[in-house]
Amino acid sequence: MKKIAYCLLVVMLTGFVSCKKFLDTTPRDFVSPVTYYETEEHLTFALAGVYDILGTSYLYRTWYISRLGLEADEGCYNPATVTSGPQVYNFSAGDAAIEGFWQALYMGIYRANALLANVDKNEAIDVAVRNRVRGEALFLRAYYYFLLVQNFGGVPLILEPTMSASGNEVPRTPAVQVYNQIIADMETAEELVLPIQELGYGGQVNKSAVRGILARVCLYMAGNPVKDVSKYERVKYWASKVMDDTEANHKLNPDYADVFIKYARDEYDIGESLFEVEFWGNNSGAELETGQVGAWIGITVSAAAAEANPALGVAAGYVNSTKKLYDLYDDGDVRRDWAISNFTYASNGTKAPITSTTAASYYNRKAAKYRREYELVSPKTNNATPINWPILRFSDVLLMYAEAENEINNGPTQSAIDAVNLVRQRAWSSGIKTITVTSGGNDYTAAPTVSFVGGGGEGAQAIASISNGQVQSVTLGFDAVTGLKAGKGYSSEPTVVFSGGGGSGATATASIHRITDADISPSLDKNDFLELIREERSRELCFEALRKPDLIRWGIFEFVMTNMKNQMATDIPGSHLSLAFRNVTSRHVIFPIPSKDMTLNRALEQNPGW
Amino acid sequence: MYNIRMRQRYKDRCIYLSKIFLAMKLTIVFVLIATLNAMSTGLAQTVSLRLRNTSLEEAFSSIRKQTGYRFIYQAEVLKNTEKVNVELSNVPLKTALDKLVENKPLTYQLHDGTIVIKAAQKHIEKSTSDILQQVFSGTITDRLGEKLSGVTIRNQRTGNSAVSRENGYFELTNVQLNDELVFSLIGHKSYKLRVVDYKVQNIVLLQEDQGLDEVVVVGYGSVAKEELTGSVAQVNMSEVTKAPVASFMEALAGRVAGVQVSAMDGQPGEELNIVIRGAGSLTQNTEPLYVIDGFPMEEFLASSLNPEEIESINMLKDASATAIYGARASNGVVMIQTKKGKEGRPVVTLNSSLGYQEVGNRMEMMSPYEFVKYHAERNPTVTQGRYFQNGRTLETYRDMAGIDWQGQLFQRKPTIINNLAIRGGTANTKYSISGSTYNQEGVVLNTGFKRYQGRVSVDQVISNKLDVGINVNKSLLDAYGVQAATGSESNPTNFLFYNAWGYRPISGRDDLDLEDEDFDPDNITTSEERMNPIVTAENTNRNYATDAFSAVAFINYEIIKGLKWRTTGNYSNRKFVGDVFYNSRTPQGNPHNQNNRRGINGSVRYDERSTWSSESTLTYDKQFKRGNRLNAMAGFSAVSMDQRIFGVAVQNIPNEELDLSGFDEGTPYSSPASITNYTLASFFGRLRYSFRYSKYVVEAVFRSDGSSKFAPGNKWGFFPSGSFAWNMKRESFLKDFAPITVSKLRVSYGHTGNNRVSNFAYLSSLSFPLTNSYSFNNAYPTKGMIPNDLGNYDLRWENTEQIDIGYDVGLWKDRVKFTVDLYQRNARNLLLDAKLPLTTGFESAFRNIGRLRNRGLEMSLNVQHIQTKDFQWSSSVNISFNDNRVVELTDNQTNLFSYTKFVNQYDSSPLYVAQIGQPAAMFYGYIFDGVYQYTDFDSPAPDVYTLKSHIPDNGDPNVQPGDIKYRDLNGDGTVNGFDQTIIGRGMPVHVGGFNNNLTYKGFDLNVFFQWSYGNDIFNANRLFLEGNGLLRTDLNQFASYIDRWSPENPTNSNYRANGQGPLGRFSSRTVEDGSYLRLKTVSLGYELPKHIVNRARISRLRLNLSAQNVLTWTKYSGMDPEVSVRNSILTPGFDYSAYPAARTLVFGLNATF
Repeated sequence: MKKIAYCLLVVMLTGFVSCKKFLDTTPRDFVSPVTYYETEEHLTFALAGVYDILGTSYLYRTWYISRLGLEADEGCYNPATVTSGPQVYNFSAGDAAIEGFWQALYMGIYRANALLANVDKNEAIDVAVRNRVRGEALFLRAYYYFLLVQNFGGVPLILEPTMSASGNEVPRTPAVQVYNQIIADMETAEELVLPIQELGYGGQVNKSAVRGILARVCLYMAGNPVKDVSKYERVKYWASKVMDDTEANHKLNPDYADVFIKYARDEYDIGESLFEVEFWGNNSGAELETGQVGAWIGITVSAAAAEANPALGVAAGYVNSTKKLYDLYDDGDVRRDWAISNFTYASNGTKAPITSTTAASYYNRKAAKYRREYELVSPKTNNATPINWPILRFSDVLLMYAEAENEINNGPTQSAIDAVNLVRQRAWSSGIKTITVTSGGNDYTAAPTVSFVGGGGEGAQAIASISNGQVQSVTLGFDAVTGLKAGKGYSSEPTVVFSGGGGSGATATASIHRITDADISPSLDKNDFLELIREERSRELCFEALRKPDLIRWGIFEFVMTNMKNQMATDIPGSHLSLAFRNVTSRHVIFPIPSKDMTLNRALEQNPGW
Repeated sequence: MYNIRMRQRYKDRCIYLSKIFLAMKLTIVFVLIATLNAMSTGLAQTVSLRLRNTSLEEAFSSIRKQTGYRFIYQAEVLKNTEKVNVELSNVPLKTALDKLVENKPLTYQLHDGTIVIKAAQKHIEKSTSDILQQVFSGTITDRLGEKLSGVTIRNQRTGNSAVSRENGYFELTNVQLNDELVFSLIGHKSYKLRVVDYKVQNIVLLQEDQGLDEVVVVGYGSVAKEELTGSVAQVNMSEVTKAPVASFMEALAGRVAGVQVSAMDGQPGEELNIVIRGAGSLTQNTEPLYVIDGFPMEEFLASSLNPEEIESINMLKDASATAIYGARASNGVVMIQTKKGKEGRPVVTLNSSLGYQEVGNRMEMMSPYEFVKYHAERNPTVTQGRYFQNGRTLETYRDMAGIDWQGQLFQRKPTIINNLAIRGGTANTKYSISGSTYNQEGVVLNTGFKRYQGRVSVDQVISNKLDVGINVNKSLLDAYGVQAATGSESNPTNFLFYNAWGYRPISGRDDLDLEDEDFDPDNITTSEERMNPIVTAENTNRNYATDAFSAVAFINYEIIKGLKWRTTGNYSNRKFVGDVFYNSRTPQGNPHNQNNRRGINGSVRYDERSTWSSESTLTYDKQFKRGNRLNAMAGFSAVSMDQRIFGVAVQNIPNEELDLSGFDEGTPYSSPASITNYTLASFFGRLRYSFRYSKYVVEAVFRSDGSSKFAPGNKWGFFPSGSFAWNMKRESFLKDFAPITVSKLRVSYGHTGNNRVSNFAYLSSLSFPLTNSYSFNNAYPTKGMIPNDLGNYDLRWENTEQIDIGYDVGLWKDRVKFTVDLYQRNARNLLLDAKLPLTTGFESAFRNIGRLRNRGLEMSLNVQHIQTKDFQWSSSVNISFNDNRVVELTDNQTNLFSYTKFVNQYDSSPLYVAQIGQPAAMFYGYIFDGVYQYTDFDSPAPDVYTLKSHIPDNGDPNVQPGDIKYRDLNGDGTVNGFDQTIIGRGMPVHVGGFNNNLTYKGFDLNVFFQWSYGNDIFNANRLFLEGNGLLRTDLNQFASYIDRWSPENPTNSNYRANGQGPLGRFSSRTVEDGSYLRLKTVSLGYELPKHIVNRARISRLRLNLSAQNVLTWTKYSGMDPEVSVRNSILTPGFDYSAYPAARTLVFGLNATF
């Protein structure tokens, strides 16, 4: 007892004496910004925090890629139970997705601002490192503003980190000034970041990415609503910088499907993929760096199918394609059956070709660019994938160049035509186009084997069907990537050879797709060429979250969506798939400013119609 | 030599003190009995006895029957007394008693309704000593031990008198044995004493109108109730513990005016919410400060305290009472004293109870027939495929019995409670050792709560100036099993009762027996986790264990007369270990759950908080002449809290049969770690001056607190208060007016504070969560540094100003007691987790912003209706009104919306709004206006209905008959976000309780009602289970949805199948009146007659049968109206998948040995 008494006495007395010290606690649980940004590693971590936003759920992990309605007329949101939300154009200024999108972008902007304000805090860090970090942070901040300005119009332009809990009622800056800031920042970044060939992958901000995105920014600024047409020159300038960069040596992957297979396999192709959002792993560890590319947007894989075939991985497949998109493609265009699924996964995990040709069947096909079966990570996690998301591909740069040329010169130049043809030729089949039976032969008791000889190509497979001992027709086999097993590399028509089947005498001729079929007409006028560009962008870039902004900058969003509604009313009357198109109104060219910020920041003004 | 002398002195002192104690004890008994019998009317004063060879006990019993007088004696006293033979007829009681004790070594004392029989001291019979020892002396004190001067002592026989001196000492000469002395002092009850020996006496004089409970424990001391200037509510512990409960909080609801206690739901082991005089904060915790045996605790775990061990609970409500706790007291203070040892032989008490509990209420679901009928209307195609195959039709399902999921989930299980205590001591050493076990199995399968607890307290007098004590408690708590109201924030389908109610009653197929399946194979998608609720409950392995230890030690030292020093040292340590293991048969671990990214998984979380504090006070008490008294106190305290959190969460555990021990084989995915602390240093003081025997009392209190939670410069806060009490009874105009026994007015004004923010809220912080990393070049992700919180260097105390006016009145010898209090609390500079514009990059930051006002009226009334010999009935009723208003919000904000976040579709709609000029929590949404009827439409063609042009649509332009209708408030022809308004109130208008105690001979009956009036509840269950708002296939519905709109049944109560309109809307359809009146406790006890139990060496044995939550009168359609599963000030009254309240029946036994 005495001891306790003494202890307490001591405590009491020391307490009296050293109150100030007693109350002076230091946090042991977190790092303070005051002591940060001191080493190269600090800068690296801070920069990773800025990148982190790209992979958050309201951006490229989930919402921006599949649930904000950016596919416009290319796709429709599938689950019938979802009757409200931006994916079906039924939402208010209080919508959580819109708010989440806005919030994520401003969080990224804050992180970039904080890094930019502190990047030179320790001048002992190699200036090259600091410059690179500054460049990447500047670009990302500008990119986040770009996503804001294209979706919300003018927004509060905040370029310094938030320092205080009060005084944050910042008014909107007009869209033009936001664009100017974006361009200025990106131009600064362009000088600071590393060339893509030095990095060797497109997941980090690089010169080509900055230049390409600058072309895109200028293209948007030239279109609605800012309509600064002088910017087409800058589109051309920046696109050319990418196209003419012999060191980076950008070129299209000869195989369209392989572009996306590489994203799924976590492989890089710096020729084609200039900037991509990186997702990683399968959540087996502590990290959560997976996305939902291939899961929310992809081909549906049921739990049963994934269980039967573990190579697949469960995928919700919420985005369906439209018949309009399907119809945009020619038969020789291999992009169609990659972008739009021509099969479903049966519950036993096998592919079941879609054979129905009813109008409705085209609306039930899935946006299929991102396919889980190509992932190399194992085991595959339900609805979570490592598939990267393309933000900028070289074909986009080519098409932007062509569009700008057309605008600048009031009609397509040869270089514009060449650029478009480059995109189309890569997508063109070099396989067999048609097979015509010239003689049915006799005495066939079974379907003869069909083979193709000569012509310089390979890989075509066809099946003959017989009736009354004669070959009636020959059809190409089903292929999950190109649609049909048309083969490739044919430069001339191969000979069709029938063997077996017990009969003889059947003959057939084959025609082939020729690369020149891909070429566009050299005599299009400005409007026709623009129309072609509009379609070509859809064919090449569908389901890459670019369609809605494209339609808006062309000023045809409402028109296109209404047409789509009318077409769907005929094709699939009363279907829930047309909900988005029935809900669209003129106000949907812009998102509302989230109501939460409207109430907290009285300096804000709401967008028209909201 | 020295030692021997010391020992001798010590021994003497022991005897001396034990005498004093005995005297005190008897006095207490007398006073108690006197109080109890104050109103006993017409006790018979004459007796007739005809006894032949009868024992004294029987003789006494006969007298008792005739007169109503009770006898008090110790059994030993009557041992070996001769049998009596008397024949008396209608003689005065005194004569009869004299006759009975004649020639026996006994004396008696008559006192109001009681007769005390005592052994006559042997030596007093020596008549010689009469002359030798004729000086009678002693010391006179009041109940608080203060020496009383000026007391007149008068010998009734001789008429001699004396007056006590300054030190309370008196001497009276010429005193003979059996003389009667009368002690009197103005303002005090006169006291009569029969001289039985000449030993030095310590006489205690009680103040008038003051009973046993009239000393009130307040902060850093106690005060005579008369001198109390503040609003302090005392809890009647004997009533509170009538029915056994896990936590004293459970029994507090409705007991005390101004105190609102409510449960979130019925989950065993869950802490309750207590709010004193309305919510004083918007975003921060509004729990009161708990002071356990003098030890202030901010984060107190009520269930760690065994209710049986509580001696008293006092609620400090107004600023004069709470300001002494300054910066932590703006939400009131709850003072709890635990039971201590008492002088005397060891008293063993054993309280055991065995109870059963069952679900009070269950929801009626659709029968298989109605279920199929509904789904056939909702989705004919799917229903055709699932239920109308192999020749089945709707009629097949008529009268078919479905699976009763609720019935399988609910169980009737026991609660077993055991308490054992040994208490006793000598005059110098008092001890108390007690322990208890509490084991409650919940009404839901595989859930429950256990507690093992022990407490030891020792108080030791070292010298007449110094005493010390220690009080140590240890509690082990464990709450286990599935948490009904907890689920993922984004998916309403993974909650237990969504599945218990919504799981279909039949599969419609012969090859699918739903009871054998862990989940419904037809209904398992990313948005639907239809898991078998029975399997979920059986397999959820959750254990939340808490190991709470606390120790309080004190030293009291009287430096000089009247000046006392007290230092307490306190240490408490609370370790929480939360284990959760999700095997493959739980929703969280089932691989078939499409949202399960973690496989079989689990987590352990370890959270340890240690707090030490030291408080030292100096108290000076001085009694002046003419009843004036000064009490001054000054003190210092220091508190330091350290918290450490560690844990690990593991996924993809390969061998689930290993349970938690298989964690090492899985992959860790999260390992929280946190070490943090805060300190608090305080100076405080109190000055109380009482004039003229408390006719006027003034008190001033100040406290200055310094907290580490704020930036330098803002650390210190100053909290003063002042108060005044006027005991009008002391005034000449009331003094002789007998009907009024108490009439007292109290007025107080003061400031208190609130510091409940995180420990370093003023600092900005960075964090490096693994989930915010980024993978470059397919490499292992690079950690991302992200800003965590935006600090605010300007952060400081929240300040609450409170004014209170109270009036206490006691009538007819306190047979009626009434207290009323009016108060207003203004909280300024609210510590608000204020929303920031998202453009800042942050959602919120702590700011001192906003104002909140609570105004209220509290009344409590106690009445003793009947007070006869055999039958007593008393009642008490209390009611409190609190009006809560938001006065100011963040930067001119007029609305603060709050969200419940329980399903994506509703996430963007706020369910609550705090508007300036309104209470803090109002329900917000659309006004339900019935259902669209045919008359609202034009029908241009058969089966084509277009809305009449003047009738607004519900937001869906293709409205059809039978669809839900909302009110178009702004008249723009459609219902959209602009048509949302306030649709209900989250806080009650008044709450209260009504208690009745009846005793008849050995029986006692307690009947307690409790109510809440005027609050609404949002019944979110109905969103999905009465109308299927998310359009889920095969989801069963409440039976109430059978009455839905159809062409044949044009009702307005429920919309048609698929008529739910636009999703994601909260409307008044599911806002219900949550008022209720509850028969909370009925307890019947029987105390076995002493002569029977004494044979079994038991001094007291009481049996009781009590029932909790017996009946509830309410309009609420859910299982129980006492529900708030997302409880916070801003989001009260939300019901979704709440654990049902249990109805309990308990048999108990209280034995004292």
